Amino acid sequence: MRLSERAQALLFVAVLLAALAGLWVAVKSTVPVCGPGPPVRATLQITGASLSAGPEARTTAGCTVYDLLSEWAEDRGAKLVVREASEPLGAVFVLQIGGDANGDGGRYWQFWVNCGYATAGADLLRLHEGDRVHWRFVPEGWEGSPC
Amino acid sequence: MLTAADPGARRRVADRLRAALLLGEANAALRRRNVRLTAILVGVGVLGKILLSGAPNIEPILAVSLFAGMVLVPAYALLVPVLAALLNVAFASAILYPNTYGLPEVAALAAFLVTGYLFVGLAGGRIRRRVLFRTRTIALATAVSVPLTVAWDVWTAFGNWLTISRFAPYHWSLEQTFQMQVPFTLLHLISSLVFVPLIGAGLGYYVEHVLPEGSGSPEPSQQGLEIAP
Repeated sequence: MRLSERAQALLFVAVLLAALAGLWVAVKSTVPVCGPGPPVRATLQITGASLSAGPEARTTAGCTVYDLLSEWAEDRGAKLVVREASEPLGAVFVLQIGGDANGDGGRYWQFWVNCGYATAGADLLRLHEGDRVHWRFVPEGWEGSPC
Repeated sequence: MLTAADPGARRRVADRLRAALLLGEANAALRRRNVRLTAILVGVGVLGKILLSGAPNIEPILAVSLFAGMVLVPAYALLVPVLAALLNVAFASAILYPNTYGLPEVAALAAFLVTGYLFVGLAGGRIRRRVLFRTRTIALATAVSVPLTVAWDVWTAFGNWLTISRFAPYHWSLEQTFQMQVPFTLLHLISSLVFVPLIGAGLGYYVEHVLPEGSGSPEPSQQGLEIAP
């Protein structure tokens, strides 16, 4: 049986929409969701050009590296500017902490967890009990270590 | 190797180039169609990528590279991925991420992007169909775009690791790089499943219903796609 052009088009659109929905769910599944649970304790240290904070033991109600930073900024009244990528990933890219904005003096905000360079965006990295988070305002390709 | 003392060989190369680019009065109509479609595909690829720069891995360049291979003669089909990718790299380096990476890193990464898109265009040439504006053709192109998207991501992630992320401050292993690539490849697949049918349908309609009348070709195509000889 040969389908008409219209039937083929409808079938194609249906398969396409199902595939897109599946991919959307798959991307969403990679984003950490903070469920109810005990708060996470972690150490935060921030070293910029015009500000320095920590190392400071903190407890976050959230579950990601970004939650730890944003709660610190809120507590201290520090400026925090971010750019959010569109859905479904919705990753956060930190542009400015305090008075230091990315690009100033060729430096950018970068972060390390337990002395290892971040392997994902700050809101995509789940915090674990006792993690040590370092934010440094350094040039791209900086060869130093925060530890 | 060509030398000044070998005018015959130089002439043969020039003739081949003229033939490849459809230069000369005999190919005027076909050349106009290829030039017009090349400009449209490059424009859609670059403008689409710029407008969607806030959405990681959502980009139309892979789709236009695929269709360039399907509808253009080889010389023009090669131009689309090369121009679209290089213009995109120039925009990203100058506007989005100025002073972030050095010229050697940008050049090396651009080489991986361009060769990746060229491969996609080559694959498009293998699935060339006589009629473009038809569900089966667009469905075939969409299906083919899935493994091509994965292959492109594997290739460029390898390029990123080779040129940037294995060095300080990242020190990522190749395995780590591929693991981190997974959500972005899923996004890229979403991008391909949206853009290949959209651009395919738009291009197919343009090629078969708009282009023949305004292209200066001797007679409008009755068969549909007759861009390449």
